[in-house]
Amino acid sequence: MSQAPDSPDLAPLRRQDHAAFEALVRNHHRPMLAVARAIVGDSLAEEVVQEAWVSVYRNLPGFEGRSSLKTWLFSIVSNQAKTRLRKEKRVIAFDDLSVPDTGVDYLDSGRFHAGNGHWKTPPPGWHLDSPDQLLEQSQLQHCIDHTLKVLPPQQRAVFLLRDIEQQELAAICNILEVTESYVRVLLHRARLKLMQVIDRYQETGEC
Amino acid sequence: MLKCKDIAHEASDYVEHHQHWWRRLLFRLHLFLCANCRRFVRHLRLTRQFIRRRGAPASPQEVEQVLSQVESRHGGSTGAQ
Repeated sequence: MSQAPDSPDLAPLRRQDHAAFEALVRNHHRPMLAVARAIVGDSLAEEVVQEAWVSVYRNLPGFEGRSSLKTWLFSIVSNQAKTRLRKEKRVIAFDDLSVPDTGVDYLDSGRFHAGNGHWKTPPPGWHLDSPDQLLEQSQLQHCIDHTLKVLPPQQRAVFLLRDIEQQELAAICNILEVTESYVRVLLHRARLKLMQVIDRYQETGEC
Repeated sequence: MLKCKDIAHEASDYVEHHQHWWRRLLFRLHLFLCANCRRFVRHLRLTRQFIRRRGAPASPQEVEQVLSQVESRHGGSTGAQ
């Protein structure tokens, strides 16, 4: 089987090699945590992911590579989270999943003229307008990290799975058990919130 | 004819090619005529590229916590060092 450029060598992982497993954890722990949070909420997510890693380690020797390694990892944590939900025999407390959604200015109707729907306040210009220039800004990295942390759990999970882990929309729907149209809404809102963070940073140099 | 408001709502579907071809054509026509919306879509693409490239590996503490848990459940070290 051909290997995707960003996928690790499977042979050492199947041997349960320490260094290979450590790298796997380093690169995938946070998105797995995001998936768990989106399903079981903050209070149980850490525990669910720890269990998922134990299961990953145990099953690595038998991993056949029928799906990508990432997809396999996400399906393990997703199943673990759903099983945990059933065991708890409860619906996750509303507070767990209802982190306030701070709104997206770009989707606010006040941003557009009521009659013709044109911009009332157009998007501001960016003086840093390449990924390389943005990557050099450590304060901006801090602002982005903070924004990712405070995104509502499902929004964060969808964003990480799609824009960082590059999972297909259909796979994300399966992992989180939500519809594709809902995934697209969550994704767009998350992207626009991050874009607003960059807008603000470009204008003020702060979060 | 699409409005700027439509562009703001559908830009993610446009950059990911999730629109019907007719809607996409209308979208492109609007972009051709509207500099503000071209900027908006360019910034959205740039945001995605930037976030994708920065990555977010787990901290050493997070990694250590997972390894300890796995080792305690498997009664020893995680494989050859």
